[in-house]
Amino acid sequence: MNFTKKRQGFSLRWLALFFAFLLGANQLSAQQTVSGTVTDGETENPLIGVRIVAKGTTSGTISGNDGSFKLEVPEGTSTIAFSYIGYASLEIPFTGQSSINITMTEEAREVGEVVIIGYGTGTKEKFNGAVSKVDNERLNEYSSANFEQGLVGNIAGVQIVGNGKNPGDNSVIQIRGLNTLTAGTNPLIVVDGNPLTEGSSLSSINPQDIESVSILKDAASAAIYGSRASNGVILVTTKKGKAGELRVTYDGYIGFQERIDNFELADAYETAIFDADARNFGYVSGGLGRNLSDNNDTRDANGGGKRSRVQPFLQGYLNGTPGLTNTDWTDEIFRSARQQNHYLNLAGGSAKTDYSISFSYFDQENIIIDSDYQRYTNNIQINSQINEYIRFGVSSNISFVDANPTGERGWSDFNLGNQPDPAFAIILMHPYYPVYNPDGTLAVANQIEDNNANWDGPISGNVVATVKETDYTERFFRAFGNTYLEIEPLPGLKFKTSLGGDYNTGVAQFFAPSTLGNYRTPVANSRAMAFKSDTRRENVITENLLTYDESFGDHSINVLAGYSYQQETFNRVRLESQDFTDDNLRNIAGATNPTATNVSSKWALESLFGRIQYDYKGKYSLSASLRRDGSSRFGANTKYGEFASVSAGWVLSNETFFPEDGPLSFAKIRGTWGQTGNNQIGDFASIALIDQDNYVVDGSLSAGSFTRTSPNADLSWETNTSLNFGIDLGFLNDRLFVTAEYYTSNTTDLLLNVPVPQQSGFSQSLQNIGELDNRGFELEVRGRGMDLGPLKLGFNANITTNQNEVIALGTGQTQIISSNGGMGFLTRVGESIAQFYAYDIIGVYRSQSDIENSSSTPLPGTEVGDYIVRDANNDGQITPDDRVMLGDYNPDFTYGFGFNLAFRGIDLAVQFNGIEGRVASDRMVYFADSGEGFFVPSQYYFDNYFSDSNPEGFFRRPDFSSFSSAGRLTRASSLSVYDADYFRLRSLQIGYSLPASITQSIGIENLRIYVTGNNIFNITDYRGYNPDGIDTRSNSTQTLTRGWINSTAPLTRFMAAGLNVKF
Amino acid sequence: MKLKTYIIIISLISLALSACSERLELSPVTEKAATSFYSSEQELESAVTGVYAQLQNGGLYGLDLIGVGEISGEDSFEEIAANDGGRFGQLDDFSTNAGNDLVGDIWRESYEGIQRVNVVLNRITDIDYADPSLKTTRIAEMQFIRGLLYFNLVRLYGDVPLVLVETENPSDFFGQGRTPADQVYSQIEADLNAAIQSLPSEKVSGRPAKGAAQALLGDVQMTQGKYSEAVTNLAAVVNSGLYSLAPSTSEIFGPANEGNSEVLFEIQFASGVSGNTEGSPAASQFRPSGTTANAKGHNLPSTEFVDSYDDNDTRKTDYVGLDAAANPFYFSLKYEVSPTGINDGGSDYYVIRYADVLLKYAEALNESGSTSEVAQYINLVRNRAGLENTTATSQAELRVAIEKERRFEFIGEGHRWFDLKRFGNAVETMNKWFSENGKNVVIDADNLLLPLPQSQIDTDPALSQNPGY
Repeated sequence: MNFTKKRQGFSLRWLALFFAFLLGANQLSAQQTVSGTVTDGETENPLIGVRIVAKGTTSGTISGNDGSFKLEVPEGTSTIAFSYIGYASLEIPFTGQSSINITMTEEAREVGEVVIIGYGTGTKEKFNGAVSKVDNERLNEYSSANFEQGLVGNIAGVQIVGNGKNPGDNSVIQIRGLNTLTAGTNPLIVVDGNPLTEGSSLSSINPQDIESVSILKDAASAAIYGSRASNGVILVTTKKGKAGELRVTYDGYIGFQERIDNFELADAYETAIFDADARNFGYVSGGLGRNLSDNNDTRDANGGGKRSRVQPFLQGYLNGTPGLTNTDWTDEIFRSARQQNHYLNLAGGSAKTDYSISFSYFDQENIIIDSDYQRYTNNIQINSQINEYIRFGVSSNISFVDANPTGERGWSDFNLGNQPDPAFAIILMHPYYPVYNPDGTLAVANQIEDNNANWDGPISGNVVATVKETDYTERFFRAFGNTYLEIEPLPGLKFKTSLGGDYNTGVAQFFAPSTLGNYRTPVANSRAMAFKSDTRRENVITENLLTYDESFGDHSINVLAGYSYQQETFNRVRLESQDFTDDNLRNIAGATNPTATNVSSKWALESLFGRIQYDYKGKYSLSASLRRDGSSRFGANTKYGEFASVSAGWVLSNETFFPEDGPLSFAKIRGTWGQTGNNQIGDFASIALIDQDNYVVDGSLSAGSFTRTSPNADLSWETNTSLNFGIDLGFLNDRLFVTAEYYTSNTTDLLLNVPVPQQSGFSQSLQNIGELDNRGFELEVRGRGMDLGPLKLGFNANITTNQNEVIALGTGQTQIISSNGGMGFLTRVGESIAQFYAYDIIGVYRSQSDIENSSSTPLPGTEVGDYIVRDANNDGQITPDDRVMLGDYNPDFTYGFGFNLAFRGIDLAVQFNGIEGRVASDRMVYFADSGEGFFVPSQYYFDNYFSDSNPEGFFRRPDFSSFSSAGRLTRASSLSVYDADYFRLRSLQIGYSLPASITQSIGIENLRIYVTGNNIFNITDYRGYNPDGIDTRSNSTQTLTRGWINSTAPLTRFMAAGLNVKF
Repeated sequence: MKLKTYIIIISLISLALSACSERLELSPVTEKAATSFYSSEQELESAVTGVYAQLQNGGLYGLDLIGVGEISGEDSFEEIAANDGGRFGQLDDFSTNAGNDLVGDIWRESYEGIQRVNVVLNRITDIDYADPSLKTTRIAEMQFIRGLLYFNLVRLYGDVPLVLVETENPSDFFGQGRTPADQVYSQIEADLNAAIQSLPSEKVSGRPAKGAAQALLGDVQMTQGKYSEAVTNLAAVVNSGLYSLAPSTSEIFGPANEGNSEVLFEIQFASGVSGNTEGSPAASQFRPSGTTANAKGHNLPSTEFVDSYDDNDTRKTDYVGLDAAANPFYFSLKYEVSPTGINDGGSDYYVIRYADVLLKYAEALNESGSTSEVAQYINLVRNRAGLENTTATSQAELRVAIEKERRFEFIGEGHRWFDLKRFGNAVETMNKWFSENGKNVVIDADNLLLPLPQSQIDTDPALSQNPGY
């Protein structure tokens, strides 16, 4: 069908007139017709859906299924323009010819590549901001449920961290450093125009459905998203169909993951030596008149308690008797785990309609036993040009997740700490105890009962039994997407209205039977417990955009005006009980008397925004934008905020003076200034909230209330103002492309959860005070099309630096000391955020005379075997003022590089990444290094602790029962701040495509087999599971105690074989 | 084409609409806001209940106030010094540092409680109660509790910041620093005197009556050495006829005996209520390790102490127990272990009971020179425990007799350390005990106060640390 219609008699004409003053459009008058075909310059296939317009007029059309078109050309037309996504646009002079047959070629040059920006697209030539893009192929070289993992090492300025322990868990994407202290650090993620709620699951998008991920790094680019943009904006575009016949693509892989971290615990024989030392030292140092030779009865009589007794069964281990129980709990908890993914895409289209439909199944076993994750997704994209003026589209993304996360996520709600966390609990499982009884049943309670009754060692149950006998499931159903209607009454003028939504439901169910013990609760006292939690999140957005895109001679402008309203409601209903008569019903239905809680929350955001982009001859470009946001989250006095940006660019290579035949094919300098905000403070932070605290009088409950949070009617946005300068250089016809960026950003009105004097009745208060600076440098180099005969070669490299400095905190406040798990962190004016802050250990007191002759008065309660603390302020005594800054988690620089090559049917892609100049602390490692008898010692601690048999040891003496007060204070110290640098072979993929001659005979267009791997090797001194696994439980742990690893899962290597078929 | 025009016009209109602010005025759905709360008698009553609820917390009468008053003394100890980060173990050998969690929790939860009181006192004046006398009573209850919390703070930490207003902006408190202890004591006395004026004479379950305020004021005065003033207040309680000792030492503690005639002010706990949230953690945590679920061996009476009971003393079996098969250490029977959950004991904690009033009265009389009247009150307590009258007659002998009787009567209840401090013999007693028991510990006057929490000094350097820390 031919869309071209006569303009005369159009009832829309009045509208054209209405806009004429604005648009300067020509009056319609006599015209002629031109027809022809458009074909692909390389394949010679017809190109369907090419946009063809008579420039400067309202007349336009689209090429049909055979690439043919017929265009009405009004009088006075001098140019006909052809444009098609992914192809170089063409402009053909019109001199009255009746037929034009042209070929279009795919856009090879970097500068012509489409850049996705907020509410629009651009090109490197015209767009002045700092945007990095990762396309589908690069993204999927790393095999994960979560697309953010595919970004690692691929682009400058982006760091991915987080302590997700389960497949599908979100990581935190950090763009250009930390711009906040206690507000959220999540960037805004916009999928096909739908801004997702902060922290919403990223694994509900299948990475294979993603066409590209564009990251708006500078404030000017992000400013169009206003109050949500100061952590950067990530624009995810999913795959759309292309006009043409149905193409069916299948991609699938199956492989295995295994842990490759360096964490290592002592075995039973070594642990026995340590255990005996810890018990003996603790006993002897706990009082006068105690001797090592005292037997357990004497020790009891002397008040030593259970921790001073030495288990008789240790003797066999100490003697080295072979064949004793020597359980490797690490091996019991971790496994080689399967991961597979199957993806099917059907895409195609006609001249007016394109579609893409995909299905996927992703299945990943956790490397922690008894935990897995399965995800089913369906993505549908349909776009249709109803007629010349109206276009509409539907985009839908549906996912269903059925997961069994590690049970501690359920247990943690019962406030049982880390004991049931399998990855952590291995340091609480003594290797003397077996996993299974001789009859093959689980030895549930050997350790807990023996320790509870006799030794007061780790009072925790068999963690393998806990994991296996606990049920924990999470099921999520999520559908998000949008529909739009786009009207183009005049060429260049578009009105788009869209309605989008995100509907997300989840059910979590937990059940632990009464047959398990948990901390200090042996099986006999144990009670079954269960909960069920139903959550529902509904998000609706409506957007109306008016854009005008036109050229007038050498001038071209693009104007955007928009309105957006988005609201979200959240609800959770939770039933919980520890009151079960028996274990028959393994869910909350078996509870006698469950308690119910209902939590609801909502927010709304209403915005007006606009942008003008101007370009002169492709040489000079200017752009300005403004957004006004109103948010329900902020105080009554500060509901609205404005965020502006301006930018300018100069393409030197389009100047006449620029040498045309030199090696430099493209050169541009650009600068931007912009403001963005951060509104991630929770929904009702500006209101003083009343919470419930009940009291019981004579056994009956009466409701009590108290003011939990302090009000702040002035609570408002954090405002981030940043400058960005960039240079783009293309060499050798852009085959080598270099982008360098330098930025400074300044955040004011910091949303600061300030620790306040507790006599106020509050421990913290959320305030807009303080100021923070960030600056950094980013370099990206990309080479492509470097062909050496049949060998095709491409490469990429990037490096990022970022530094932050606290400029001001609260009034009169010069520092914030926060702690997490005993490790202190200092955030001080003039320094970087969250410096590790602890005592600097310079040795061990090896004798009483060492203590007596110490150059400075040691900490109170210092005993032989305790650490020597450096007297940092040289005042002759060790006090809290001797804590020193020991580095921070923010790296000096991060880098990534890789290459890809293709030779005949073989292809290879390799990507490395690394981090330098970063320290971290890990709770599990420091417990295992602590010398407290409760924990199984790390191999490193065991090899290096001070004792009679190792008088040169640099770790403190083990002590179980009378751990000294000084020992407590030095528990987290300079010894527990670890070098967290690494260098990894992040991904590797080798493929072989069968020759077309073979595949086409069996009706297959392309058949490729490949092997792929993630984290093939990891070079690091770090002794924990994974230095990227920092605590992200709350905003403030993420920033003010950044670098603290509370509990994470081991780094894994993944190796898989895959198949890729196109029909 | 009409439709298209229509759509465009509508859309343009909607685009041009200015932001509509009502959509952005969202109120919490499942949480109440202070702006609209505290506006009726019912809501104020719930805020008053919230004050009592605070007293149940672990940092106050759930655990820490009992532990700090008991373990610091010589009669009770911590089975496993290193347990729970040494929060109680450090009290045992006076190695408490400013990072100790108990030090931080008592401080924080006391001030949270004081703030809850201040909110009620600030808001209640504008609220009409159906029965105006109830409003007066509630104000007096709040003054009593504020007095009690400040009394604990000033005894434990010395000079402490004095806050008597509802907080408008928490940042206003930066730079406030510590208020001298005598000013804090003046405020405590003012609060308690006001409470005495308004509290009813009849005790209502869970709430203080006039007698409780008089007894507490007597204690506050004795602690400052004002014995004759204390005599007046304590005599008022003793002579009121409203309180009497429970008939036997087995009928004082535990859920079965709650609300007996001996109780002047109690923190109520119950097990198995509201998802096991209303019980006390003391019962299980004050048991020797391995004897019950979540037993942590905090606050155990020493074997030496238990052995020092007279064999005829019913308290030897009614107040302490032993589960020798599981653990060789004694434990207090004053906290009944819950049948329902680990931290869910049902025994009320008696902040003030009549035996305490009697012995304090005896002490005040003795110290203010009315020696001849003292013995009768000691004997009331002794006779109930199955013991003969005391033989002490002189002031010095009676002093010893009172101290001894208090140890036997209040073992495990968190009085001993405050008694030692009030008697003025804490340093001497503890050092003697340490040297006799082979402990390498020597304390001095600095140890009489806890350190201020390091987190608070880190937050606001205007708060200075106590000497010796």
